Amino acid sequence: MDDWETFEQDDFESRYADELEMLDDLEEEDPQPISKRRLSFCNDKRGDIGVVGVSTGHNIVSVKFQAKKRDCNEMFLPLSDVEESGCDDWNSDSAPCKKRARLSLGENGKENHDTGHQLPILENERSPLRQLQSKPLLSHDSKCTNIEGKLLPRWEKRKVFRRPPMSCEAVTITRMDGQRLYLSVRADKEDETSSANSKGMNKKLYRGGLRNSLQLLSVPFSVLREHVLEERRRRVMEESEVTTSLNRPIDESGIAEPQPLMHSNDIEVNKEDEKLLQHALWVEKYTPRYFTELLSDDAINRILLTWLKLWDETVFGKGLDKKKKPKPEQSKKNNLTKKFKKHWKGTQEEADWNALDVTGRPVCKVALLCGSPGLGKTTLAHVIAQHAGYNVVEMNASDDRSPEVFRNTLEASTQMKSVLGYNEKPNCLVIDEIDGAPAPAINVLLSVIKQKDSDAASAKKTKRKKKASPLSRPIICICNDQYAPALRQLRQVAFLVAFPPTIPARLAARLLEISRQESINTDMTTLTALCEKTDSDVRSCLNTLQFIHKRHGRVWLEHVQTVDIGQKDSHRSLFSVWQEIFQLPRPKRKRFAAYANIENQNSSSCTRDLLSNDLLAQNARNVGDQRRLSAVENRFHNVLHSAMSSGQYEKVAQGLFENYLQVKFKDPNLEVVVSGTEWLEFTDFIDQAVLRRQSYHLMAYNPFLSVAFHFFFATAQSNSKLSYPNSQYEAGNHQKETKTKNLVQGIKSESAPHIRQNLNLRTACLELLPFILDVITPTLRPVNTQLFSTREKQQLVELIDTMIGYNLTYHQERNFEGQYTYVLDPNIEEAVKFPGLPQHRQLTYATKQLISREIELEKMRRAERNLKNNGDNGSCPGRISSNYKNTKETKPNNTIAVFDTKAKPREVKPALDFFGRPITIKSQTAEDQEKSDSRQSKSSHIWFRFNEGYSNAVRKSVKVQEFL
Amino acid sequence: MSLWVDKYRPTSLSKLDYHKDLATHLKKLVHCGDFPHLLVYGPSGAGKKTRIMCILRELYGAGVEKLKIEHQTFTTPSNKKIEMTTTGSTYHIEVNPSDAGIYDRIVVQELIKTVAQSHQLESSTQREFKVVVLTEVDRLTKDAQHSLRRTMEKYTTTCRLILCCNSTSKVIPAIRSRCLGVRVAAPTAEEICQILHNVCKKEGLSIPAELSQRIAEKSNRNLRRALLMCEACRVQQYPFTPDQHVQEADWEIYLRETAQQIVEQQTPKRLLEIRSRLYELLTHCIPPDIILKGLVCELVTNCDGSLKTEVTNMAAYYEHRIHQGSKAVYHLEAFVAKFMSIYKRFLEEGMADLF
Repeated sequence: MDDWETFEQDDFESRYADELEMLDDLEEEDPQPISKRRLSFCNDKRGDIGVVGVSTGHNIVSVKFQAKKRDCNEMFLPLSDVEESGCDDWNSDSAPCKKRARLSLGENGKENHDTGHQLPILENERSPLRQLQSKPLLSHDSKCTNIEGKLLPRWEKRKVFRRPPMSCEAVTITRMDGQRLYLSVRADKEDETSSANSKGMNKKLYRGGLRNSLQLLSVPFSVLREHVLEERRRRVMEESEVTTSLNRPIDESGIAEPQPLMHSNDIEVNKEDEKLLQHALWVEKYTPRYFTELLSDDAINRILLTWLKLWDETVFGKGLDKKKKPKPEQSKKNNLTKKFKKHWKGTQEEADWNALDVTGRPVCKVALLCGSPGLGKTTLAHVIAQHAGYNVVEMNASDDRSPEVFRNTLEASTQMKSVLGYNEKPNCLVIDEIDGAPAPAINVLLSVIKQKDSDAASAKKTKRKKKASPLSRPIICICNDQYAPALRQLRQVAFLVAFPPTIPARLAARLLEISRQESINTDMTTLTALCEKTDSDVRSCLNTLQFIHKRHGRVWLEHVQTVDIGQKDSHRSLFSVWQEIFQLPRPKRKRFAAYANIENQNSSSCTRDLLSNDLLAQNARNVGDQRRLSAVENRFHNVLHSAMSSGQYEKVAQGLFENYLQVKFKDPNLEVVVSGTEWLEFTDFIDQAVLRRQSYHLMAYNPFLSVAFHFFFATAQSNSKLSYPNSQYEAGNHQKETKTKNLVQGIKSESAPHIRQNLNLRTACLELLPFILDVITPTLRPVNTQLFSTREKQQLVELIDTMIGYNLTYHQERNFEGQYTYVLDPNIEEAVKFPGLPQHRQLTYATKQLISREIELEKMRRAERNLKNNGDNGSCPGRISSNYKNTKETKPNNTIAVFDTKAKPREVKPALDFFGRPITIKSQTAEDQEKSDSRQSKSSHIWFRFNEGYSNAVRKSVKVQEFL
Repeated sequence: MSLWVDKYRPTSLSKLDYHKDLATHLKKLVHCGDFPHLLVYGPSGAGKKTRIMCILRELYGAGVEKLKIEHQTFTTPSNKKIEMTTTGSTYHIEVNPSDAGIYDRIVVQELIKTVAQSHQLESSTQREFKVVVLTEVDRLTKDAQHSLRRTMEKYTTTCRLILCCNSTSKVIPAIRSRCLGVRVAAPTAEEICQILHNVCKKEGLSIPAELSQRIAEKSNRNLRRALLMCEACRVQQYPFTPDQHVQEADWEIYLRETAQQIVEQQTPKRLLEIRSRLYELLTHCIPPDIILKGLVCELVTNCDGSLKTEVTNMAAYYEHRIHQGSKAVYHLEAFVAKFMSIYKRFLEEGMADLF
């Protein structure tokens, strides 16, 4: 600032040096003899400038006032000395002179152009002063004029002068012909009198500026700036006083010294500090710093501390001397014996977590703090670690937590120690929000814990070495959800500390204390309500409190109730949401009923709309009077909030759909049910819109389903038998549906093309499959097929044809009782059958067996025919067979024969009396095929003879060559 | 080949049993040399597919009957592979694009492009265009339908489309206007009877007129169903008797029982039972609109005059919602609940009038 100022001044000087010079020359040329005379007594170093502004023709007057002028000079001269010698005290000491100088400022004529720039700086700093000293006379001269003007009132009436008037200020005018005239300006006496006080000074300055027509600004820039600076300084001074007064109670050391003349930089710094304090979140400001300040449950605090103290032997045992070692030990014992024996005596846990392992470390290497947000877990971890003498190293979700980084941090913090710096304490790693960490990272932690166990066991003898016991520092993990899947393994090895919710009374007391410190206008009831609203979330409480305080200045019950923040966005389990929806709330304490009114008056226009619905109004009327209606509105908000907090709208809707009919509600005409189903339809449309058109804004309307259902179906008694929708309907049904679809697809994909083209899911399910099941169950006499009439044979052939066409066959399966049955494959029956309807006619086991075998044979025959046709270059392509794609068609003839024998025993096993018959059937039903078959098998290299020999029924002639 | 439905399916336009006028029209259409895109529509079991195949045979001769199955793979912009199975001959290709679900647009575009870009080999002896048969066009997404309309015009020299659907109401007007609509109405009961007699005669069976009449009635003018029913009857008991039991589809029986249960009792508990039955139907791939239709047909018989209109109106409303929404069971249950409510009120009013 100062530099800039000086620079500007210098700059100005250098820039306008030429002009100034010229101006001076110009005025020197003006023939003014008397001025020369004046020069003589002015005792000027720079005589040529002295001419300016001194009127001529009043010699007597000038002479008369010579003495006075000298006085003036004498009076002003020491000024520069003073300035030079003690510029530190300038402000205080030179105040009168300053005023004088400024006073003269406005009244100068032309030369104000120069002096006007320099005079104000007089007061400012040293550098302008130097400038002033370089041209002291300029100002002195103007002072002279000034005084002369004042003391010659009788010349006031003359307005136009040919020469610069001495009596008063004048404005120079150059006429067209080049003649210069001087217009006198009437001096304002009022200004001069009022110029003594600072207010008048402004006006004065302004006026003075007005008179000076040579300037662009009405007030010279420098004057303005000077004024601003003055103003700023004044403010800073005020603030610094406030700061010091503020600092005094906060600063414990109490070294807040009042600084009357503070450097601007210092002031800035202080101001920032102050700002920081003012704008700090109260959560930060009032964080507990000592063990005794903790808000969480005392027992929990002590348990954790005890656990941490268990580490002392490992951590401090070697590093610190006897002096410190006994102390933690002692405290540990104290804790254990005195305070906790009564809590934990006889419980299993005590034995578990209190014990030290062989290396002198606690059994549980890691403490896992879990609880909902805002209970003070992180604070507790920090405070306790500090309390136990550790240096806290925190790792949280904001850090990179890839396994490598995790491992590095883990090792760095547990094995190393800061050498530099003041805190030469051992580290305690606090891993915050560990439930959000990726599973691999947690595995790293686990491996560190476990591997070091084994290491420790092996390195038992070399315990002297410190590095041998690897995990030598406590680790505290913090999570919200202890049942997060990633933590499953960690939970088993960790020392689990579950946080109970903070006691509202205790929290409220603390809040009261804080509000007293912040001087908030509030009361206990309000704070208790706040605690309940936020579910005893400390952070949320404080934030809300600060918010309300900032906004309203005071915190009253209505504020707490009307404010929309502070509600915890916690996750609710689905069952609890359904439970809440289907159950009427128990009558709550009066306080809630009271402020429910306030809340709802301004926030529930939508409730009104809904309540105007006949049914709901009726419901409300049934429930009770107007006061109860407000309770209804309260219920509205409660249910809405819990539905929103669960988040899984679709699941919630499914659960409602699943359960609402099982709830006992009074509904003689089913009108409520109809409304409920309408709501369900509505959600379906919303989901549809969201999924198809990505109209996510519509999702906002989803939770209202829960509210509607609450008002439709809520009953007083609890519904313990709410069932989860997933198991019964959605998943199960979906599975069944896909099964049916796959079945149809299976039929379709394997069936012949001409059938396939007329087959789609809809026709198959609606028309084809139900009837085909009947068609393929003909009444066949349970006799040998050879005994069938031609008609029956024809029927059988058709049946086989149909089944092959639709890719159906019978498949042997073993049921639960160990009996063999033939089932259709694909099982059309499953797709067609409905429970409670008469069973379709079933074929006997024997018939199914027969059909199955026939299908098998027919397929082979067709494949064979295909092959033959292909061999004959498809001379007579059958409509289907030529294009019928079967995997078996690639099989050579002879292997089919082998396949046949292999297929047989399977069928033969259950009923032996059918043995041997296939061959006869084959020969009868398709004789021509049989012939070709036998013909081909003769020419083949492989042959078999049935029932001949025992082991090598299949023979093949092999030449020695093939073995070489 | 052996089901009567397949076995006695006519293969040429001249052999068709009913809609003879339509057959002659189509024949003329084929022979006039300016074959347009066709949009064949009509209820299920009326013979749309049969006619399409007849047209193709009329166009190309017996070669179209040599069908083969092809598996084609299409890649979506998101690099998802869609496996589609098409049936076709050298002259035509048939595909059901709705199998591809929401990716049907890609299938339609790619398929038609590949087909249309290759010309017929012997254009002198054959038609210069191939035919793409798209079935279930009404189940195509709007996207696919819009993509279809430009392709239809662009490749019109090398490719004709025959679209097949049940209802034109879900086909966008742009496509409807580009096609010659061919309506294949369901055969009348008499026509079905006649066909049944013919088929039985070919099979060497004799069917009593009463039985054929009953089958025709039960088949709901669906020829496919009638033939299947007839064959089922034949399998059950050959020498036909006039009062023979005609087996219905299980789902129809089940649906009817469901409707009866609704009429019997109107309580939330019953509604819960109905819901499980609805689920049962849905899992058997019975389309929700069929379920609704079946229920309404049965319920309306139990209603009085004024109630009938109300119920029908309501059913139309809920069917619309079924198509709008995605969870059919919500809407079906809503319908049932609404009916229960109305019906109960109606009954109570009736009781009040009595006393």
